[in-house]
Amino acid sequence: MFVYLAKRLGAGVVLLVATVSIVFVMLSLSGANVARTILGGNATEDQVQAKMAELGLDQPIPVQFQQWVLGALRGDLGTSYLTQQEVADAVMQRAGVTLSIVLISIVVSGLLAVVLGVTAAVKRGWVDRLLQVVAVFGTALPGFWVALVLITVFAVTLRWFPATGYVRPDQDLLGWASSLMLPVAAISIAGISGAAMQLRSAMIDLGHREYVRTLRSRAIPPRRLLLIHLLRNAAPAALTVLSLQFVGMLSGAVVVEEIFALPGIGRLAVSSTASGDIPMVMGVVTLMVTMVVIVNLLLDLANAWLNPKVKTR
Amino acid sequence: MSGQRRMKSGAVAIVAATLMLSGCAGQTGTGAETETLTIANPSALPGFDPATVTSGSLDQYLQPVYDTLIRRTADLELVPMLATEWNYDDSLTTLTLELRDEVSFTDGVAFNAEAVVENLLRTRDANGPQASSLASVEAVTAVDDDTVEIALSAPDPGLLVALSGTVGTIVSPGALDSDTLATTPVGSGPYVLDAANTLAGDTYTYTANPDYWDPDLALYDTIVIKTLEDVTARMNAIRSGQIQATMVEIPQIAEAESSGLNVHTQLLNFTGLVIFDREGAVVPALGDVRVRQAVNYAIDGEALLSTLREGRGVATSQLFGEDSEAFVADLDGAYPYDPERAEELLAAAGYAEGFEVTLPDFSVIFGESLFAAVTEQLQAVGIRVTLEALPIPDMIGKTMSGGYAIALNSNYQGTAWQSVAQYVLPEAAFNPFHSSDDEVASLLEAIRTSTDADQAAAFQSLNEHLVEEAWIAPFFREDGVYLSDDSVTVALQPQAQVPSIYNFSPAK
Repeated sequence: MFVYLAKRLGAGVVLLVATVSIVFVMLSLSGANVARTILGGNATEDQVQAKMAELGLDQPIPVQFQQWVLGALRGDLGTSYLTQQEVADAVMQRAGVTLSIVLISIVVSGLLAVVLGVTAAVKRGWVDRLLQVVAVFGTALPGFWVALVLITVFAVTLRWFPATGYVRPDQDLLGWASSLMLPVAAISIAGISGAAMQLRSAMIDLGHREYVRTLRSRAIPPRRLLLIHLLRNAAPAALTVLSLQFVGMLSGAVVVEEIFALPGIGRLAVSSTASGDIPMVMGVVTLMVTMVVIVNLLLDLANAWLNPKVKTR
Repeated sequence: MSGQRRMKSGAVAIVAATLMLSGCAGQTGTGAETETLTIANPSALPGFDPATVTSGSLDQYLQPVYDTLIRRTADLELVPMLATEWNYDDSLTTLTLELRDEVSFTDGVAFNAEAVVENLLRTRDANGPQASSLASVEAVTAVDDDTVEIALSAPDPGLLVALSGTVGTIVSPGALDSDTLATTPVGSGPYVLDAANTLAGDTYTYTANPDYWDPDLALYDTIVIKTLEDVTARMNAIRSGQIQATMVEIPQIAEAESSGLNVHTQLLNFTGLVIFDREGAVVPALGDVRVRQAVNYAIDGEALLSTLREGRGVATSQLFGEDSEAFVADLDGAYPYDPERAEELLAAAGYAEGFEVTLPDFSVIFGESLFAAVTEQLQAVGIRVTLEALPIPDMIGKTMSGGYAIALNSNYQGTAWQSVAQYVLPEAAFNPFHSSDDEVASLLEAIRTSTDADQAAAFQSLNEHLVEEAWIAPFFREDGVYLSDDSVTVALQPQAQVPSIYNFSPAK
């Protein structure tokens, strides 16, 4: 188990190092003129050059990268070129918003996927067919379109939930839940559909296995058979889909945060990339990759617990 | 409890929770009875250090917490704020400001001449977006506690207006060099920032400053400014009652009207081709005034306006806006759409076969249809356009450093001097080839050394000369759009995309 964990952790570190290196080089080569962005349209070329030197952007890329890495290893992710804010502070302030959306969406997707997937697999017939059709729509509908429809219906017309913005849970817990309702719904629909269909297929497949027939012949209660034997064995497939969807949801959060104007790291990533705020983009990328690595690690552990054969692979 | 019963009670719980949440969402809506103003701004504030802030839409975030030396009203009048009087000497190179007495910053420090000196010199010397507005300032001196003298290297017709914007924003001297200025503003404004209910880049909450010296400028108990860069988000926010006022764009007007919102419009931006290479250094053809005039005749401003901007604007051939001293009504029709005339002029200049030119492709910002239409109209008279697409900041950088002979631009129309400083001065950002001629130089000198009617006459002569020389090929001026609901009264600020914070009041 320890070796298994160490291998997965090692792979995660390699992924992190590779990603931040590639992103830094790409950002630097894109030559996005952040000095021009800071100084505005009226600045002269001399002012722009002076600002570049002030920010250290006149140094060769390897030197800039080395400085960033040395800082990051000390836990200093630098200061935003644009807002002078500490990158670590800005990123952590906003990570809570994105994590709220993505983690709640994952939990909601997981729970609803189990309910719908198991229902389809057990009931079969028209219920199964209906759920499959709904799932195809759920997977096919673009998240941003779902978001806009939800806003039009539930925020603009019915005024049940806010159309934009985020409320911190320490300010107002119900307000927080209310501000997350539509974004979570928009981002979860595809996830629920995908995971539910995976679970359904896995359960139907398992239902035909020898050991299940044996268990049935031993008059094990159907509920115990379903929950202990079938669901546990079918869960890894759904968990794999959910772990992939976590990555998808992080990307989806970028779009959803823009539409709902939520102050998350997705919106921060978009604005800092557009303005060439390299330290801020690097902070966001570091955090996002770390989150992906951690979630994948947790799911690997869950898989290993559900199915001990995994550990030996 | 049976499974079915459990499901039912679960469903009831979900419905109850939903109703509670929805009820809560309703209560968080805005309401004039609490004297709270909630508005959305389309631009993100880099921070509360005025030296890092570009004047324009961002002024709205600074106005609640900072006073400026001079205030510019919705009638474009300059009225006292922290300065009660101001006078130039005869040579227009020394500006003397008399300052308001008995004003304190919110940290308890008294406002005085020394504070003004520190602020202005810091803004001039910080390499920020406002430094160029103070480039002519040689010295700022505190004559006594309530008097400041600003010595200029040459007359600066833009200085007084600049002092009514970010440049004239006065921060408490104690906070000027603090590390926390970006997040913790300390000024003497009508409100103070409520840090607990503020998230940088998202929501800024301000509460009334109980000690403010002019109660007429502090009409609300609380002001909330939300940063909503996406126009759809702003539209959804105002339609759902989350905000009371915001800026949108022409395509949103119909939706706003059908939602019962108040739609305010004013002519704001001008859109056109800026012909930088007036000496023909990169594209020799453009060195000939007839070719530049041909570019003007080739573009059908009326058609662009009606198809792309719902006809909300005025086709024009001049750079300056109607509110500016340089405006000459007749110049709007100086170059009517006339492709035959364009071809004749090209032929007369020796370019009967046309010529080639590369345009930076800013279609992401200004719209694909506009670029397609302009390219097509130029090609119809023989001007073959190649669009070059680079990352936007790079393209701006290349444009400003003379990488393109011509570029499409859309920009707000400020005061006459602001337009001159942007497009006409040899060192202007949108004059990358540093064009000038004797007439331009002498008119600029006349503008600098005169005031009032004489200055306006010189501005108008400059406008006529630029149109005749076809420095620019403007297409149209278009409406800026601002929305408000019935709970607020708002007066638009001419030459600005968003109104000053002082222009809002609770609806009676």
